[in-house]
Amino acid sequence: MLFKIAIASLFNRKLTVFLAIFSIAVSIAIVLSVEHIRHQAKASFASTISATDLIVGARSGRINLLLYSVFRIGNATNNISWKSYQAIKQQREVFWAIPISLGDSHKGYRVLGTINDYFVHYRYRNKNSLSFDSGAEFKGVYDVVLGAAVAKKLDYEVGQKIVLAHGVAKVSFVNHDDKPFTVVGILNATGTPVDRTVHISLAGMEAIHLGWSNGVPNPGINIAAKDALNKDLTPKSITAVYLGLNNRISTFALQRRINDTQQEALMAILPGVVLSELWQTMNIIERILALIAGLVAATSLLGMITMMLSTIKQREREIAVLRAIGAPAKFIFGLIQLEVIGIVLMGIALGISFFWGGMLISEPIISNVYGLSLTTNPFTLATGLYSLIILFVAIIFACLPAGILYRQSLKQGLTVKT
Amino acid sequence: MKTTATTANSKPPSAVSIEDVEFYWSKAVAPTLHIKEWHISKGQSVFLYGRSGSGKSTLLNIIAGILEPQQGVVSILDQDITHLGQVEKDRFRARHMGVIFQQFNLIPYLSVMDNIQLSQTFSAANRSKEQMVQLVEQLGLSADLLRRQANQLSVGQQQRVAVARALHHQPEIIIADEPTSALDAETRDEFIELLLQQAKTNNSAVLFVSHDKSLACYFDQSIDLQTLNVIEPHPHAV
Repeated sequence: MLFKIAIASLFNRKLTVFLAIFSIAVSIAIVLSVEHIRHQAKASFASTISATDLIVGARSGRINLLLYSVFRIGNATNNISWKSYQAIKQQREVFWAIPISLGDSHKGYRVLGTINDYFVHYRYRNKNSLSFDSGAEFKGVYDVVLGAAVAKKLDYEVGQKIVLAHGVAKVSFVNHDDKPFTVVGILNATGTPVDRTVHISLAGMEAIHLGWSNGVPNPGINIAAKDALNKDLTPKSITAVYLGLNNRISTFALQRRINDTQQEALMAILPGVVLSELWQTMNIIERILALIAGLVAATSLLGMITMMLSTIKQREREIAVLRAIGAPAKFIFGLIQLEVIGIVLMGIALGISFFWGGMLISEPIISNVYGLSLTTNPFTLATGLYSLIILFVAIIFACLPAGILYRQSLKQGLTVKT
Repeated sequence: MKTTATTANSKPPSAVSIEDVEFYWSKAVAPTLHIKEWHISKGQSVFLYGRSGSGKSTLLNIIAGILEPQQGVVSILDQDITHLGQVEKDRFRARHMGVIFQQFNLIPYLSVMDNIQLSQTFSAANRSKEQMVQLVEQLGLSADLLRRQANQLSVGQQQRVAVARALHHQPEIIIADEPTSALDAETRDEFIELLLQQAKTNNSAVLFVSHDKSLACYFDQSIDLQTLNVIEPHPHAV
C-alpha cells in the first residue's frame, strides 16, 4: 500500500515530478560525463608515449622538454649537437635512439624531422606501434609522412606535393617553396600528437635549411632542390632524442650520466614520470570540473527537496487522513522518503540513458577523429558509485520534509486545519 | 481508582470509558480538559455537542490515542490505551476505530476503492471486495464510483465514501467530527440516517461531534461537552 500511495502521489503531481526527475537526470549525466572525460583524458594523456625510456634534450625545464618533444607545444630553448646524439647512441645501454628535429610547420601543423626508425620504435598507449593507412616510410630526401589528422583536415593523399613553412606560426612569411615535398605515407589515427604532425626525414630538414644561418636564408645563396641532394645532408644539430634501452634497469644510471655531460648541457627525462607531473599541474582543472559536477548534482537534489517542502501544506490533510486510519507516523516518514527515492531512481535511470546515448553518439566521432576507442559501457563501477552517492545524499536531504511531516503527524492529530 | 474490569461488570460492555482524565497543552496554562467520568456503551450512538474552543478536538484526539492525557485512564473496549506505545496506539486505532472528518476525508489522488481499502490495510481486516461493493451500495453510491479518483466526487459522495471507509474494517467505534457541516440540510439528514443505520448493522458505537444541536434528535444519547468538562473553556483555546 505504501508503494501504491507513493506512486499515485507522484503521478498526481506529474509535471513537477517530471521536472525534478529531468533535472536530476541532467545532473547525473553531467557528473558521469565529467568523470568519464576526466578518466579518459587522463588515460589518453598518460599513454601519449610509451616504450620510450628516456627523452634527451637541451638542458631546460623537464616539463618544457616533454611539451615540445612529445606534445609539440612551445619551442626548444636550445638544440643538441649531432655529435652528442652520436655519443648517446654509442652508449652500451641504448637499444635505439631516434633523433627528432622541430622548428618548421605546414599550415599550422608542426614539422618533425626524424629517421625511419621512428615509425618502427615509437609506441603509444598499450605499446601500440604506428601503422600506415596508405603509402610507406621515407625513401627520398623530399618525402613526407603525414599524421592522420593532418591528412584528413587538409585532404591530402599520397603523391601530393606540399610546401613547408619556416617557423611554427600559423602564417609564415618565409616558405621553403623552392623545395616542395611529396606525400609518401599517411599514418593511421593514434589519438596522440603524432596525428597532427608532418614527418620529414632529417636529411630533408637539413636540405631546406641549406644556406641558412640564424634562422633566415642568406641573401644570394640559393641552392636548388636537386643540387642540395649532392651536399652533405647530415644535420649539425637536432632538437631531442627518444631513447629505448636494452634494459630498463639502467634507465636511471644513463639518465644521470647524460645529465652530467660536461661537453654539452644535456638533460634526460623519463617521459612517464614527467607526464604524471604535468598531469598533476592540471589537477586543479580536474578538481574544479568535479566540483562543478558535484554542485550541479546537489542543486538538482535541493530543487527536488524544495518541491517536496512546497507541497507540505497541501499534504497536511492527506497526512491527517492517513493518521486517522491508523497509519503510524513512520509510515508518513517512509512515504515521503519513498517518493524521493522514486524520483531519484528514475532520475538516475534517465541520467544514465542520457549519458549512454551521448557516448554512443560521440564514440564514432571521437574514434574517427582522434583514433581513441572510448568505452561506451555506462554500467561501470564509477556509475554505480556516483548513483549510490546521489541516492544517499537525496535520502539525507529528504529527511527534512519527511521529518517535518513526521513531527507534524504526531502533533497535529486528527484535526484537519482548513 | 476503579479498575476497568469492575466497570465492565457493573455496566453494559463499554466502548469508551474515561475516568478522571486531565489534559493540558503545557504546564504553564490551566488544563484544557478535565473529565471525571464518561462512558459510551458498545453499539450506542452518542451526540456530543461542543462549541468551538470547548476542547472537543482535544477530547477526540485523546480517545483516538493521538494525544496522551497527563492524568487519568482512557479505556477503549475495556483496554487502557494510555499505557500503550505510540505504534500500538496507532494499530489499536486502525483496528477498532473509524474516523470521519468534516471534509477532505479521502486521499485525493487514490481511487475510491483504494481509499476504502486503506482502512483494511492498516487494520489488517479480512474483507472481500464483494463486501465493499455491498457497503458502498448500501450507502446509496454506485459501484462504478469505486474506480473513480476520489477528487472527482462531489462533497456529498466523498462523505459517504468516508463512511464506507470508516466502516469497511468493521470497527467497534466510529468517531465523526462534524461530518455534516459541509453538507446541505437534505443531504445532511440522509447522511446521518445512513451512518447510524450502517453503524447499527455493524454494531458499532458512534461518537458524533457537532456544534449543531438540532442533530441531537437522531442519537441514543446526547451530551454537552461543557457539562462533561469540569474546566471552564479558555476563551482562546481551540
